[in-house]
Formats: sequence, C-alpha cells, structure tokens
Amino acid sequence: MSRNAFFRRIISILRASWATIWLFGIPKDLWSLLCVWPTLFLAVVCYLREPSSGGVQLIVLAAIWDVNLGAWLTISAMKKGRNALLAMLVSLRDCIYVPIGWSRIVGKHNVDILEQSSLLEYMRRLGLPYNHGQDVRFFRVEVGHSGMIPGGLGVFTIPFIETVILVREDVLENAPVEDRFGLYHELGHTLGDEFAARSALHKGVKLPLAALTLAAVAMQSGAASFRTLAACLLALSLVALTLRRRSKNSRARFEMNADQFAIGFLNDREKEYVLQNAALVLPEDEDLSALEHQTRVAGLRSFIETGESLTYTHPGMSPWAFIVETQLTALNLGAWMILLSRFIGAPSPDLLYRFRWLLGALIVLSVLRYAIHYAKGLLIELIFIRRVTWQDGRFKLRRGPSWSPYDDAATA
Amino acid sequence: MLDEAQELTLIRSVLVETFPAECRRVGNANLTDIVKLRGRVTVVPIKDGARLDWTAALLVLASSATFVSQCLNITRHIFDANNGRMDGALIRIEQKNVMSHVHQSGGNGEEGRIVVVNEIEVPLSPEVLDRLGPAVIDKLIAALTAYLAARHREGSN
Repeated sequence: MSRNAFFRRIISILRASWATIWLFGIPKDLWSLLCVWPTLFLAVVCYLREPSSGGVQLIVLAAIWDVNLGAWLTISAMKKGRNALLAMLVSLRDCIYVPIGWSRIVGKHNVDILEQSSLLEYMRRLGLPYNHGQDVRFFRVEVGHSGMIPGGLGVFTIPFIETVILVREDVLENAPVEDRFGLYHELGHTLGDEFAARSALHKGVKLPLAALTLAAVAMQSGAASFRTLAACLLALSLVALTLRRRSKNSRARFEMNADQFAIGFLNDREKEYVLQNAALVLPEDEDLSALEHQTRVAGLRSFIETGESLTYTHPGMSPWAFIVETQLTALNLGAWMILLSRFIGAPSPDLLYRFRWLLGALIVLSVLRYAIHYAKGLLIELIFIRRVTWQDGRFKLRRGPSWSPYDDAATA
Repeated sequence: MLDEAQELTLIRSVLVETFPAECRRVGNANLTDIVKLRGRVTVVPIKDGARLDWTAALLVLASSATFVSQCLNITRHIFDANNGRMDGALIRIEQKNVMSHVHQSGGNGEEGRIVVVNEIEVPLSPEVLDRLGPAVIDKLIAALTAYLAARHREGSN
C-alpha cells in the first residue's frame, strides 16, 4: 500500500469513529437519551432527588458504564460485516483480489445517481464527511491454485468504516442483467441511509434493560419499588415490540429503495428485460412475506414504467405518527424510571473506590475488543495487498517487495 | 484428436448447451475457471454478506465439467481405437447413492477390434446428483458425442 493510501485509510478510520460517536453516542431526543444514556439518566435523576457526593460519583460511574456498553454494542454492530469478510477471505485462501476502480462499475453517465444516494444526502444533511470513492471498494476475485470460487456476489458492509464488494468480473463487460441488477441493488443498500435505522434497531433496548437490571440491584426492597420496576419493564417491553414491528416493516421498504436505485444504472433494453422478468430477477427473500414480495415486484414494475416510487409517494409513517411511536413510549418509560429513582436513594461516598476493579476490567475489556476488531481490519488489508498469503497449508506473512494494487485501481 | 484449447472449447460448449440458464447465471469468469480447471473447483458459499447466490448453479456446472472431462477421456480412447468412429460404442450410465458410473465399451469396428471396457466414477454430492439426473447426463453425453462426431465429419471432409 502506498504511503498516501495508508494515511487515507487512517484518516477514514478516524472520520468514521467521529461519525459513529456523533450519530450513535450523542442523544438528540428523549428516546435517544433513554436508549444511549439510560444509566446516566437514572443517576442524574437520583442526584436531583437527593444531592450527595456519592450521587456525583454515581453519575461518573453511570457515564463510564454507558460509554463502555454503548461502544461494546456499536462494535457488535460493526463486527458482523468484518467477521464475515475475514471468514470469507480465509475460506477463499489463495485467491487473488484485484481492485477495480469505480469507472469499471459505474459508467460516466451514471455518476450523478451516486450523488443522489440517500446515504450521501443523509451525511450532507448532518454535515458529516463521506467519500464513496474511497469507502466502497470493489475487488475482482481471481481463482488460485486450490480452485476456490466464491459462491455469489460478496458485499460486506462495516458501518462507517468501509464496504468491500467481491465480484468475479467487471460488470460493465458482458455481465448478465441479473448480476448487474444484483450488484447495483447491493450498492443501493450500501449507499442508503438504512444503516442508521439498522444500527439503532440492532441496539434495541439492550442498554435500558441493562440499566434497569442495575437499578433492581441497587433499589430498596419493597412492594412499591418492585411494582415500579415491573412497570418500567412493561414500558420497555412495549418499546421493544414497537421497535420489532418497525424493523419488520422497514425491510420491504429498504429492499424497494435499493431496487429503484439499481434501475437507474440499467439501459433501456435491460430495463425492459427486468420489467418482463421482474419476478425472476428479484429472488425470493425469506425475510419478506409473500405479500411484501409481490408488492416489491409490483413496485419495481411500476417504477420502471412510470418513474414514480411507491415508497416515496406512500410513506409508511407521518411525522406525527413517528413522534407518537418513539417519543411517547420513551416518555412513558422515562416517567417510570424517574419514579424508580425514588427507591434507589443516595449511594455511599466511596462508590467509585468500591467499583474500581469492575470499572477497570470493563475498560480493559472494551479496549481489548476494540483492538481485536481493528486488528482483524489490518489482517484483511494485508491479505488484499498480498502481504499475508496462503503458503504450505496456512497463512503466512510474505517477505519481499510490497505489491500495491491501489495505485493501479486508481488509474483503472 | 483434440488439443487442449479444443478440449476446453468442447467442455464449455457442452455446458452452455446443457445448462444455458446456469451458465448465464454464473457469468463468464466463473464458467471459464470451471472449464479451465476441468471442474476441479471448490465453491465457497457466502453465508453473510451475499444477496446474489450462484452456489447451486456453480456446483452443477463444476460437477458437470468434471463429468464431461472424464467422459471425454474415455470417448477419446474409443474414437482412437475405432479410427474416429463411434460404431457400436456403448455408453451406459448408472447412478448410485452419491456416485455416477459411466461404462463405455467399444463395439466391433471395421477391423473387428474390441475396445477395452472403461469405467469412471464421478463422486457427486446428493444435491448435485439430484440435479444431474439420468436425463441430464444423457443430454451431456449426447452433446459431447454430437460435437465430436461433427468435428470428425469436418475433418473427413
């Protein structure tokens, strides 16, 4: 890898970290406050109710807890894509990965479509940087001596860090319509704003649940306190059900958005083919019901014929419905948590000292997990630049001159 | 009889003729590698991160390429022994649990020679064996022998 390319990746990792913290670590409404900082919320309410030096320590402890647990869950959301990519590269062993420039994937006349993608619009709206030219990379997989062939198009998205797409040939050269459509469809997912919703849904109610569990340990025992805790858990269950329903409903919309994004890259003849064979081109998706699949097929046909998007003309949720569904449930949960704080009382002044070992272990584990996550990223890079290769039945660090495909890709 | 390039062309054309949908599905690069390696490829399914799955089509093509390549070897012996004729040559295919057996014996040629009976065994996974039923294997063999016969006629002319 050239020095510039290496620094580009370092900068992109820092940028991605900042974007991740901004989006997922800083609450912007009541629900985010309860979801991202639930323990801190509870600790602050406890302090306001009964100010004490132990209460301040509890706030510090809660903040460290929330940051650590939040980082843990964020890495969990990220690691799925990275682990899947690494497992794939290990399985493919001696394959060679030749980077393909964007020009081999997207023709010059289609570049504008990328600029209109919902992810880029989303990031621009938030003032966050995103460069799809660097953050979405394509590799052509060339078969090695052992004859390993990937069984499909591989798309591995690591939110904010990068997306790696493994293809078998340049899609601009003689690739079947199905493959071209499939690739652009996946690109539509990658360059769609759905990642934010998906990441939030992945976190779900894990953090508030952890906070309530801690509160259950700390609160005074009694009938009233247990009733309040039960009410908190009930409110949380309602929130979980709401999130689950939203996750289920959003899947079809995400697929339809990606379909429409893909259509923009096809020529008139290919669009006609997709129109005639929409049911065949769109594979059955096990996460969609039969009705949702039919709607998807109809939506694609309608989009090709009229250019109008069903998902845009009939939005699933009005702004008021969105507020009712998110903030009202959060308000309900928040009210019960405020009531719960009454039973926690003022903590002892040596709280931080008593929890020092737990705190230390938590921080060390989090840092370790973060390091492992990025070490895997480094290993992936080393495989791509052939510094780590399959030799004598195992992966080895290769000595000798570096092979830098990135410069070749830039000129491709 | 056939040089390597011709052999690769033959295997490719037999696959394209017998499995047009699968060949279209997996694209040129996959088909070329399957043919070049005479089917000795291992398909690695992409469990996470894949939406476009070729695995089933690749498995069928890879198994078929191995099968065609081995049939070609034996058919070539029969052709050579019969001076380019398939008169009386018998190709019999039996399918067992996870194997496909092909028995080939040359019949009496003009000079009354008997060609040694050959047998090949192609190990196939059960799911591929289901796809490569007797009818499909017959079609593969028919495409193979038709191609060879056509080439032989061209050579004679």
